[in-house]
Order: sequence, then C-alpha cells, then structure tokens
Amino acid sequence: MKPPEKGSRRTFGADLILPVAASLYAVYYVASVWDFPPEAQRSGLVLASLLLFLTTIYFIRTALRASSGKWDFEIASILGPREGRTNRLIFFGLVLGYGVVAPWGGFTLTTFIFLAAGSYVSGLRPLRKAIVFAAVTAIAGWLFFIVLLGTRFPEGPFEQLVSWIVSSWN
Amino acid sequence: MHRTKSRLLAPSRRGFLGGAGGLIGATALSGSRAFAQGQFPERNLSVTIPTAEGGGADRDARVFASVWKDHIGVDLEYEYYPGAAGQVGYEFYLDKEPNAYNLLFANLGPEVIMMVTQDTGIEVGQDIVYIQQTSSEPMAIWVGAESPIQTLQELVDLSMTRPVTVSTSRLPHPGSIGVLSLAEATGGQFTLVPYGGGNPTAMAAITQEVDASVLPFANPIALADQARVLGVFAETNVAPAESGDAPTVNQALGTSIPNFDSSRAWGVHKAAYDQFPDRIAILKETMQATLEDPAYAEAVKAAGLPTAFIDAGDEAVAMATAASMKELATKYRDLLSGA
Amino acid sequence: MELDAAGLTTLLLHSLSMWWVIIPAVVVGIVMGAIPGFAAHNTIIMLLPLTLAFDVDVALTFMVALYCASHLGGGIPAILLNIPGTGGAAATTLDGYPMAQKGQAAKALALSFVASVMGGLVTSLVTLFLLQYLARVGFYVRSVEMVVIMLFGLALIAAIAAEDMLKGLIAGAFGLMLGAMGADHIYATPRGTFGMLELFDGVPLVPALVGLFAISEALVMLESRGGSAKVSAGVTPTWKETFHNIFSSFRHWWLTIWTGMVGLLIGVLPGAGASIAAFVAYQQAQTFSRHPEKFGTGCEEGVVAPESANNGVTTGTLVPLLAIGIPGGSTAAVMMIVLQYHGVPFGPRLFMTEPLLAYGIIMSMFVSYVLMLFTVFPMARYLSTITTVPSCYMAPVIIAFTLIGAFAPRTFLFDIGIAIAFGVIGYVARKTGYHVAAILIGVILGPLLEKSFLLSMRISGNDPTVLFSSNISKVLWVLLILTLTLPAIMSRIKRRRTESLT
Repeated sequence: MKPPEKGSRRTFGADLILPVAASLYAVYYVASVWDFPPEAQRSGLVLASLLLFLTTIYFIRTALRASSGKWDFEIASILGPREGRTNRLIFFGLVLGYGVVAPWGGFTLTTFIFLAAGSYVSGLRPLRKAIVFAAVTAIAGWLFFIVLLGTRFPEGPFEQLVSWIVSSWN
Repeated sequence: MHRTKSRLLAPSRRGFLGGAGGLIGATALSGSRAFAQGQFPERNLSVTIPTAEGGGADRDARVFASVWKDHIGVDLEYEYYPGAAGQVGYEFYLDKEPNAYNLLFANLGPEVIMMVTQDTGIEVGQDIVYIQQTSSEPMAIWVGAESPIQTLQELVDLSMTRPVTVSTSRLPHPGSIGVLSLAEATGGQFTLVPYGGGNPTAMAAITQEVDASVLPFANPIALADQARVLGVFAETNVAPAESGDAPTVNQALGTSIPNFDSSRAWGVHKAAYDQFPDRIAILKETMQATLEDPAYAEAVKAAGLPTAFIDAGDEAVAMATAASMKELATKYRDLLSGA
Repeated sequence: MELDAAGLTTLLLHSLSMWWVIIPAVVVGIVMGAIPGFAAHNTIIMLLPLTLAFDVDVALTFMVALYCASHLGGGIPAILLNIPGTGGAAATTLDGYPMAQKGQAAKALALSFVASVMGGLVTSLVTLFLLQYLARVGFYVRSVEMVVIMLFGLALIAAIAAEDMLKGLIAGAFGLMLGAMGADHIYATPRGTFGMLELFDGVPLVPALVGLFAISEALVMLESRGGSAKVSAGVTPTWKETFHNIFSSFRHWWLTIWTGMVGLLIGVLPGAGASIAAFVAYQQAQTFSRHPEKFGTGCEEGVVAPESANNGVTTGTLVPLLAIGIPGGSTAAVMMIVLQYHGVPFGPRLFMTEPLLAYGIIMSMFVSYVLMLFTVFPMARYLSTITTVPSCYMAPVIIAFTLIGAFAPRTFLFDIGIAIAFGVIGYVARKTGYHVAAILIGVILGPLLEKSFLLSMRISGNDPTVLFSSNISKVLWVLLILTLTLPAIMSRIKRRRTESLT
C-alpha cells in the first residue's frame, strides 16, 4: 500500500459538525417529550435511538482514525478555499442581514440593497454594473411577485412611495 | 352541460383578460381604492383562519364574506395558520394588532376544547371575544355507503363484540366528545382515530379503513349518497331531507346524551373590543345584516350546505356556546389529552 | 355523456377552445414551478381572487394547466442549479445536476421535459377512461400499506448514500428527526420545537427545501467564479441538436410510462404527494435498471423517472376529488373551493350534472400537456445557457428570490430564518460529504410515515402484526425486501460471472 503523500493527508473535524448537531437535537427532542403520552413519544424515541446509535458508530470510527495517526484534525476547510473567504463570509452576513432588514425595508428596497452589495462582494465590477443589475432585478421582482401575484411581503419605503404616487394620481 | 357550453368563447376570454388586468391593477394600486375617509373600515379586513385552506372553515368564511363584503364595503384577505389543533392560529391572531381590522373566523367547538386541553393560557372573554355566531351544526356519526352497518344500533351492537374504530378530525373536538359519551352511555368499546382534518377523516370512512366517522353534519351531507348518516347528536335532525331522514342519536338508541355541535363565529381581540366599540358595532351590525340577507341563504345553498345550519346568534349566544364547550372539555380533559 | 368517439371529440374541441387560458397558465406555471416556494398550490391561492372571478370551467382549466406546468417547471432549476423548484423535483437533482455539470444540461432538460409531458399525457388519458377504477385504489391502499410505501421512499436514502453508507444514514436519520418536530398526530402536543409557535405544525417544507438546496448551493457556488457547468463548451445546442435531444428522449418511453403510472397511483392516495412519488419512482427505476451503479452520476433514467412520476401525481390527486368528492392534495383542495364557490356539486354528482365540466377537467389536463410540447423546444435550447451565468450574478439572485419563496407560503418572516438555518445545515452537509437529498427525504417522509404508522396502530389496537395483515401489504413488503436485497444479489452474480470468465 502506498503511504499517503505529505500534504494530501486525510482530515477529520468538519465532518463532525453535523453528527454532533444532530445528536444534540436528538437529546433535546427526547427531553422535550419526556412527560408525553406514549403515542406522542414513540416515534421520537425510536428515531433518537437510531440517530444516536449511528452517530456513536461514527464518533468511534473517527476516534479510531484519529488514533491511527494518519488523519489530521482540520475544521477551517468548512469555509472553502482560502481565496475569497472573507468575501464569502461578508456575503453570508448579507444573507442574514436580508432577514433582519426585510421587515421594515420592504421587499424591493431590501432586495435591491442585497443584490447590489451581494453581487459586488461576489466579484461583480464595476460597482455601477452591480447597482444597475440590482435595480433591474429588484424592480422585475417587485413587478412579478408583488404587483402581479400580490405576495404579501412586508411593505417598505419603496412600496409606500408607489402607492402614495398612485393614490395621488386618482 | 348547456351552461358550460354557452360560455365557451369570446365573452369569457375578454372577461379573463380584463379580469387579469383588473387583478394586477387591484393589487398594485391597493392604496388607491376609494374608501370613505375616516369611516371604519378604511381598508380591507384581514381574516385569520386557524385551519388549512380548502377546509370547512375556509369554505364557510368565504361563503359569508361573499355577501358580507357588500354590507361592510371592503374585501377580506385570508390568512391560514393551521397547526396544533388551532393553537397556532389563535396565538398568531393574538399577536396581531388589536384594531378590529384583524378578525378571527372560529370553529367554536374544537377550538375552545383545544384551549382547555392544551394549556394554552388563552382565555375566552379575556383575550378574545366572539361577537357573532353565524352557523351551528350538530355532530353526526356516519358510515361510508359501502359499509355493511345500516343503523346506529348495529354499530353499538358491534362495539359490544369488538372495539369499533371511529375516524375524527382531531381528539379535541366536539365529535370526539360525542363518541366518548356514546361509549359511556352504551358501554360499548369505541376507539377514536384522529386523521387531522375533515377531508382525510371522511375518506377513511368511505374507504372503510375505519368502521365509522364522526364529523360536523355538513360533511356527510356534502358527500350525499357516498355517506350514510347513522345518528345526529342533536335534539332534532334539522336537515332530514339531506341526510336520508337520519335519526338523532337519542332517538336511535333511547339514550339521553347531550347535544354536541360546532358553531362558526367571528372573533376579535378583547383589546380591540374595549378600545374601538364603534368599530365593533359596525362589524356586528353588518354581520347581522348579512345573516338576514336572502343572498346569504342563497350562497349557503349554492355551496351545497343546508340553510338550516344558519344560526345567527349575537355575542351573548356565541359566548354562551363557548362557555358550554369549555365545560365539556374540562370534563373529558384527560381522555382527550392522553394525560 | 358517453366517452365514445363523438363524446371524446366534443370534449377535445371544448378543451382546445380554451387554448387562450391554457397558454398563459402554462407559462405562469412553468415560471412559478421553477421558483422554489411558489409551486402550484401557493400560486393558485394567490391567484384565487382572479380565478373566482371567472366562469367555473375557465377557472378550472386555468388551475389544471398551471398545476401541470408547475411540475414541468420544477425540474428546470433542479437540473441547472441543483435547486429543485418543487419538492417533487428533489429527486431530479440526483442525476439532472451531474448531467449539467458534465455540460449535458440541454440534454437533461430535454429528458425532463419529454418525461413530464409524456408522463402527464399517458396518465391523463388513463384517468379519462379508468377514473372510477383508479378511485378504488384508495379502498385498498390505507395507512398500513402507506407505511410500506413510505419505506420505499426511505430506501432511497440508502441508495444515494452508497459512497459512505454511515454518513448517508446519519443524514437521513437527522432528516427524520427534524421531520418529527411539531405537534404529534394524536394529541396535538408540540414536540422538539424550542417553544417556537411557528414550528408547532412541524418543519415548514418550503423553507427547508429552499435552505437545504438553494441557499447552500448559492454559498457553495461562490467558491468558483464561473457558472455551474464544469464544462462550458457546447452548452447551448443548435436547433438540430435540440431536436435530436428531444426525439432521442422518447427512447425511454417504457420507463416514462411505468414511472408515470407509479406517480398516478401514489397521487390517488390521500396525503401522499409528488415528492414521495418521485423518490419511489427514482428508487424503483434504479432497482430495475441494467446499470444501477450509474445512478447519481448523471444517468438519463435518473432524470426521466422522477419527472414522469411527479407529473403522474398531478393527475392522480384529482381522482379522489372527481370520483369521491374529497380532494387528494392541497392543490385539489383549492380547486374544490372554486367548485363550491360557483355552487357546482363535486364528486360523482359532477359527472351526472355537468359531465362536460367533469371530464373536461381531465381533458384540459391532456390538452395542456399537448400545448406544453410547443414550449419545450425553445426551453430545451436556450435555458441551458443559465449554467454559464457567472456566480456573482447567480448566487445573489438565487438567495433573494428563494428567500421570498420561503416567505410566501405562510407569510412568516420566521420562515426566512428557517430557510437560512437550513441553508447552513445544507452548506455544512455539502462541504463535509453528507447528502442534502437524504436529509430532505427524512424531513418529508418522516411525518407521513409516523402518521400512517400511528393510525395503523390505533386502528388495530396496537397490534404490530396489522402491518402484515392485508394481501396488498404482504406483496408490498416482499417487493420492499426484494428492492433492498436485489441490487446486492445482482452485483454479486455479476462479479461471479466476470470472475468465472477471467
């Protein structure tokens, strides 16, 4: 068998995030149904046991690999290649921001800001191009989702301005 | 057949396109609709329905609104919050602004029972006021057309030999309590099987996955000859023609089981009730006018429902209905919550 | 009304005369189906004020055409971007996306369109003639049998997790655990919800789908500058190639027909939907394939099976509504509102009082598919260029529009948060070798499996042997066991044969 070359050693660590999270949820779930009637508990208990059984095997497998000395602990790989990592983190921040701003910024304005900033952060240059792209897409989205389909997305300054203009026409 | 044929071509096409344009206009320009300034309601009302779209509550709310909108002068917008036997809908409704623009279309029976069995902490009269009852229908126990069971007595006889399965929408429901009291009165063995909604509950009876089903009377009536009503939990059968002259449960068995029914009612936040008495008065007045409008009876009939279920009751009646439900729910609390 | 030649001609002409409503409905349906979160039933609810304003036959034709088209649309982003537009297209990502990555997006699209249209045409024809018999399926396939059908779907977790079985099973079990969140089916007590009211009704499927597939994909997409196709040459085919792609897709006619029928039968059952049908069809197509090992790597059959099945379901869900008067799914429930609003009786009475309308619903489905054929050619040619759009445009647009999709069904801002949370789960899963489709299968099938199981238990008085009580359930169990063991046996036989040859 060929020994693993230096630099291409296999890693573990990031792959533990999901089973750990899943196990924690399973434990929480069981605690949450502890006093419930059996019919409400049954499937949760079965599933939690199954999940914990599987994750335990996984943890044992990982521990055996780690102790063999051939596997390195590594968790940063979850963030993808080093190049552009900061930009991707900013992008994710923008995604979170979308959820926070949408309630008062309204659909159109929030989408516009998100698209402009998001596309710029992802590498769209020059800024002017990003702004034009964002404006066209946000307006198209507004026409389609809000005007045509009547999605009840929260209204913001833009939607209020439009309905004010329209009502002052009539 | 002729009705559909005669509408095939141009006029409806124009109507379709015009309507599509109209819809676009209506949604885009919703700010522009000319409501009487300063007079309630100045904009559309929002209706919370604590069950899924396409269910009985949805149907009844829309039938009522189709006539009410002419009296109140605005349209209604519907929001559906199904889940946890109505708890989700109630909690969301209570979080909305208490301004009498936000209304709740309640199914008094199951929802009041839910508030008791699920320890929601929501109190009728303190958090929510039912201002107008619109309809009331008794619970009916029925079987699919292909079932070998012909009468309620046969079902009860069967329940003496083996547990009889009865599909129900959910355990916290007047229908379920009806079956529990039937079991109590006859000594039979009945197993309630909750299917989570009227449609699957009915399907289980028709396909005979269960022996029988208990649902509000309108459900088997709407199914016409696919359902055979065995008994109605009421003083008298108010829709004999539509139900094959089904007997009441007490007539069929010689028992004295109380009535079990479910009433639809409009609810508002208690805070809105206290703060905007003038708005509440307008709501009540126009609701009353709707119930008296012959167009409403027509709309009910058109939806395939017996007009006998229209049961206009003012706030006092609606709140009394809620109180009696609460009492029943407290009595059967343990059986319904699995405690 | 007799379904003889004259009757059928009248019916066909009637439905064809509705072309002016079918065409816009098809266009809206395809677009909405392609945007995660909008699907048919949400769109129909949003457009309800419009549909209620029209004659009942116009309204129904519009809804039926939109419904069918949405399932065709759902496959488009599944193939091009690894983002299923509807739950029914989740299985399409398994082979559709690998095909797109290999530069065969146009071919995958052609396969998906032809499978959708053919599956729809065949099942609507079958339904037209056998409606009453199809309605009987519900009399034989009940909770007990549903338990086994769900297990067929779950078996797919094992199949797609072949690379690292343990990881695949963990992903599936995690999905099932998340799917067990929410009020229990018997007492309606909320479980594992962190006390959040928005989760009382269980994990909302659309935000989960949007998060697991779309948001995670957009985040991964940013790691490369280009589009999703790893091979960009020859992505846009010529007309000649497009015609060839489409006509060569008919090669899979037999697979299309039988997976369409699987969809039709599952669609008839109450509570089962397009996602289950597509998972089961994919899983079965793999089991009976001559080269099961190619599934998941960009195999044509892996695109055909789920797409044909999810269009078969659209026909199936109308069967209980028409034959019995009880809607089989949420879209059918909305159609029922329209019928009621117009005071039209439904169920068997509809065939007595308004046969043209009753059979017309099925025929307009058939005609919608015929008209959809024409949209297929330009779409199969041009849509594949989407795979070459750079990620700096694609990623922000995907996120912005799918977050609206997550919001739209329940209009909860909370659901945007759920979508982002599932986006993180999906991202971590993708980066560390867990299959997002396995998680989704768990989330979708878990609650349905639990419900069917609890109902079976309640009805039988907690007797587990009820699961093997009916003849149909016994047959299904045998098939399930065969399904699970056959691939291993076959590969062993194959290995032995090659060993004996060498």
